[in-house]
Amino acid sequence: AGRSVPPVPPHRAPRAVLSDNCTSPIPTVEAVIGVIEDPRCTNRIVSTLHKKSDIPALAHCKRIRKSREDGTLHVLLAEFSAEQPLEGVLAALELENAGVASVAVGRVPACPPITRQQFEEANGIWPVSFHENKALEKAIHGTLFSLSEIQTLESAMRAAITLALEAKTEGSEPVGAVALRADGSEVARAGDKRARHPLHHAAMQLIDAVAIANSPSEQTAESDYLCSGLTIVLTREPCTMCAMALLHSRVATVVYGQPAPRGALGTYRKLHVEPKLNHKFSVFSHLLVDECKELDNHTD
Amino acid sequence: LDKPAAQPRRNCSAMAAQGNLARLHALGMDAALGMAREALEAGEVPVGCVFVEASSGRIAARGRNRTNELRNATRHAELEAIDGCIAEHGGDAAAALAVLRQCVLFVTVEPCVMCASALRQLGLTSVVFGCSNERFGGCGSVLRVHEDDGAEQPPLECTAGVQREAAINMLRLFYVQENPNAPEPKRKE
Ligand SMILES: [Zn+2]
Ligand SMILES: [Zn+2]
Repeated sequence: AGRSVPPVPPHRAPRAVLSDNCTSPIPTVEAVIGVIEDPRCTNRIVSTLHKKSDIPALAHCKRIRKSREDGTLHVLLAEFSAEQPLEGVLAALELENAGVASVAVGRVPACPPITRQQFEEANGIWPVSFHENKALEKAIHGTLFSLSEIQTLESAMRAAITLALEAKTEGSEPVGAVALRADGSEVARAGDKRARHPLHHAAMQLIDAVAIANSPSEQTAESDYLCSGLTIVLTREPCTMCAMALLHSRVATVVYGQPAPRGALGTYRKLHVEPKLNHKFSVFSHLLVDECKELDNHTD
Repeated sequence: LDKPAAQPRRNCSAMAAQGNLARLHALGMDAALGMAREALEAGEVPVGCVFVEASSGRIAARGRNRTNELRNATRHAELEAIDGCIAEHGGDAAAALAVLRQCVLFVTVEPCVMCASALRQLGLTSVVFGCSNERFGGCGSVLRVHEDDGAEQPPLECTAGVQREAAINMLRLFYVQENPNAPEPKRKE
């Protein structure tokens, strides 16, 4: 028997904060679909289509679907365009008298599925190809982190909670932050200091603390960016300023406890997956969320 | 701006206001470009800024990029100027902010998402910039933080393109000295 890995209780697994295109239903688009009269013509139709007309925008769609109701074969012929009359489609594809009985407008998935769930959904509409992202599926199902990794994150979060309580007694917001290396060792920690300076949020203070901890001699050529490879643990979802500061510093992962109304890593926006920004990082939420929520409830 | 009732007077004061604005823009952006040059000479990405008191034309704070020197990717010109002003007020952030809120910020490059959010959180409302920031801009280029940050604070009023060429040239000088073989930087709108 192999070594058994202790299972992670689901409530302890941080939740992945994914881009909307991973979580939303797969969009569909109109396409021109033909009904194949005689199944023996299928191969010839498909090879004519391959020679004649690729559909780059629908490359993820398979060409043939077998109807679930009556077993008839349908063929994806082209994207639908209102300017292109349906009658001319077969002639344009050199498929007149090739065994396509009728042509109609139907819907197909507009883009390739990213998650397995989207794949299954898309297949119900029209068969598509799919390349599974294993890490993404694990993140979705809360199985990306091992129990010992979660224990490391939780102990960092407990340290952050202590810092948050200290910040609160100083009149700042109850937010704490800890930076970890990939091996789980701590680089730096910081609490919110905005009672003294309105921009000294915990994440900004943490980036400063990492800069101080990283003496120039420790820097290597490839770690030109301050927080490359680091995991940042925060009691509360960071604001836009802090999230962008973390992005500028090239963090690898952010794990926070409590979502915030103006949070920029999941609630108000999702900066970490913004298509126009050149650095992407992973974000997880709800680590020790009850303890983190408590920090706000203690307001006196 | 006040709105005088009489027609001829409005024209006169509008012209005078326009003249004042042009003078303010020239003064502010020249000073910001001076700070950018200082950054360039220190081996930093040349971005500079000044906060100018709208009423008097007095420069209340100056800053320039110091990310390399401080090995901290968040030490942008705007945050440097704000922190410098707070330090000048003996660490009294409220006193410094009372001054900065009466100012127009002149910065050679569009504030990034981080700085735009910082400016709004501080209740600063007026920024004039030279060229746009296609990679990180928070005033329209990447995100529209200046008007949309989920914040209660008033939006950040932006004026773009003041001495744009000079700001771009400064950046080009930096990238040429970094890598003599580098292609010309993009000049998209
Ligand atoms: Zn923040
Ligand atoms: Zn910035």
